[in-house]
Amino acid sequence: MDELADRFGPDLHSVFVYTREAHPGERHGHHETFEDKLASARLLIERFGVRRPVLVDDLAGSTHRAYGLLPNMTYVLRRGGRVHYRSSWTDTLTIEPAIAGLVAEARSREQGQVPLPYYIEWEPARARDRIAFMEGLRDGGGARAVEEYLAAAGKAYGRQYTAPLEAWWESQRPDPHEPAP
Amino acid sequence: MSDYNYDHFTLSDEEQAAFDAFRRTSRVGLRAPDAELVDAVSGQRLRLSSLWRERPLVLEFGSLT
Repeated sequence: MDELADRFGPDLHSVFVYTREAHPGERHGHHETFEDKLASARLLIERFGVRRPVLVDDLAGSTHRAYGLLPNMTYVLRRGGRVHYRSSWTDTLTIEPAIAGLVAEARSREQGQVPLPYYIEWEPARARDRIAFMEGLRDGGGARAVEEYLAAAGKAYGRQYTAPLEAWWESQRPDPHEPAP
Repeated sequence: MSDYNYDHFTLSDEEQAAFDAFRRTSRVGLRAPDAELVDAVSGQRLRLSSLWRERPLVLEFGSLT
């Protein structure tokens, strides 16, 4: 997302809105105070080198709720604030053409044309590396975040989905026969 | 809502309902809600409308975990 922001630099603003912790655990827990939340946002910048402005929502999640409460959604708003694109999952596969379309539209207007809107719906699937996601849970919230995710995902999506993730998690457990470091 | 900042991820009925509602209620074409947020680095308060007044605005939502 930072790369997209760089590429379209002067044509748009791009920010990260910091919400509640989606997968809290023993390594990184939920927020008790706004200062907790601010510190978490700063840790995100430090750990992942986020170059876009990170804007922190209030402790009650007012903005997060107003936009739909999903953990990883993205919106592209037109100049003036109307919604051009919204997605229940952040995926540059679909965000990039949405932004490119807006930029092309602006160019077309500059040339005196009147672009006509059309409406689109699209249901792509997340084709990303599931193990990388699990590693993120482990390194973010911690072991409890991994186990709670596996339990919830097993219930929601079925064992077929979680079996390879369970196998990965099994391989992550420390060997009981190995001496502690 | 007292458990907005939950300490256990369970994919609660409320969260599942949010996913379903997101699909049903398209807001494309409608005005986005304005909000005041705090910049994590400077600590300054910032209104989203002050950004989208100038240029299109991309909002990515998320957390460390």
